[in-house]
Amino acid sequence: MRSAQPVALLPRESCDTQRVSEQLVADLGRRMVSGDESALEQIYAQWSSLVYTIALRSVRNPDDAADITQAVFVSAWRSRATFDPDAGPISAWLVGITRRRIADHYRAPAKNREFATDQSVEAPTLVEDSESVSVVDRVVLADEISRLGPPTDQVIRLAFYSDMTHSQIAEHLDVPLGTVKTQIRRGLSKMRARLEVTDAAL
Amino acid sequence: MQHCDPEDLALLALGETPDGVDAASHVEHCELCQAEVRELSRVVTIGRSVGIDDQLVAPPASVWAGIKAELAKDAPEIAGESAAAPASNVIPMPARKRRSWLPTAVAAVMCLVLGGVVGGVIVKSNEGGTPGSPVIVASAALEPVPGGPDPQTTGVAKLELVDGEYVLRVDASGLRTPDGFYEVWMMDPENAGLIAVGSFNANQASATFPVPAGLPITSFNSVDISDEPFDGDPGHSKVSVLRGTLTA
Ligand SMILES: [Zn+2]
Repeated sequence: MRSAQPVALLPRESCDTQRVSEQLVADLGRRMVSGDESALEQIYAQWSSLVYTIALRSVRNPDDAADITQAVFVSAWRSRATFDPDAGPISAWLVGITRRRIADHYRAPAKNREFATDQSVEAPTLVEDSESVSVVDRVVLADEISRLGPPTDQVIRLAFYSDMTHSQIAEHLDVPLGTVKTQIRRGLSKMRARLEVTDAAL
Repeated sequence: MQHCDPEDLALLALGETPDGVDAASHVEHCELCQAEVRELSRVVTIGRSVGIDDQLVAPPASVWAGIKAELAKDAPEIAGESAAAPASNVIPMPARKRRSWLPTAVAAVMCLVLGGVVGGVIVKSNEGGTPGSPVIVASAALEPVPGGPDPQTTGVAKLELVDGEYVLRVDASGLRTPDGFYEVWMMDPENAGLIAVGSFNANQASATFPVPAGLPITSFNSVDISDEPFDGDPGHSKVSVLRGTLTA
């Protein structure tokens, strides 16, 4: 598909897609901070599934997860002035808010007189599960894999979930071995970076 | 000291033995390469623990409606708005609420700065302003692909935001009857990424396709319509008919 390159339609050669894409996401944050409500709708379109799935996996109830998701984006908008684009990406900031709203969810029953205040200590499913991999890390990686885009996502899925070696993957996809190795490296590096920024926003 | 190739370290993290025979033995003695493998192995461990339950699920549509309703309460009442009663008889309340969600001058300025750079997450305008009408995020003029089978027809593709989800609208009338069927693709030209969003009937003038949640729309900014044979091969036939780049 060499003809797939619409090079002539791109205004400048220096316009690296990846950089532009990151810049546009950063601009979303800046637009939100400046009070542009349309930015919130786009942020919601990009990351509401991430927020909802983390909530759903943590509280295991679709209604509660929907309430938490709503609370996260309402909080995000109201506290938009606290978002610092230089400190990390919006997705990580949203995950941080999600963790807090989930913690609030477990704390809420403690307000009933019947329950002791130390009820809040029990925020069970948010922490490590039996395999000591947190729900947040797993869902964030699922999100990142889906954002790798083809063909990297496909190569990573095969490398993770099939028994194939990289050379078998190359054969299966009918692409050069070097391409598979490059995609694996690219995918793992992007996933590591995503986990790093998410952990940093704790 | 010659360190391992980063791609070989990634393979080691996956539990594979790279072809370069020295890689494994080098890592055994090199703390730097070891640390790299350890970090990538953590990614692999978490990645492999991702279960079907962890796959992303979109929230119900009521969530976005709830957010808008809750934030609408924050919006300061504009003085004199209720005095404009005659107008508000014409425009129902939801339309006015909706309008506060329209792009502001900031978005307009961003369009000037970045417009045309790449199909992006920049809202242009919602001309109609009617409730529930889509926000057009980016659009593309679809032009015949040079040397393609249909040099006469053109079309338009629009990336729209409808209640928090992206859809791709394709308008193309007068396409000739295809040899097989028309398939609509979104492409990432930089990384040769390609996904099929749906098939397009030659005799329909317009169709909309849901865009998979999470698709990096800023890099998948090229829209392509191809003529696909009925051969069961899900890949692109390489027979492109129309193509264009989404720009804000
Ligand atoms: Zn080394």
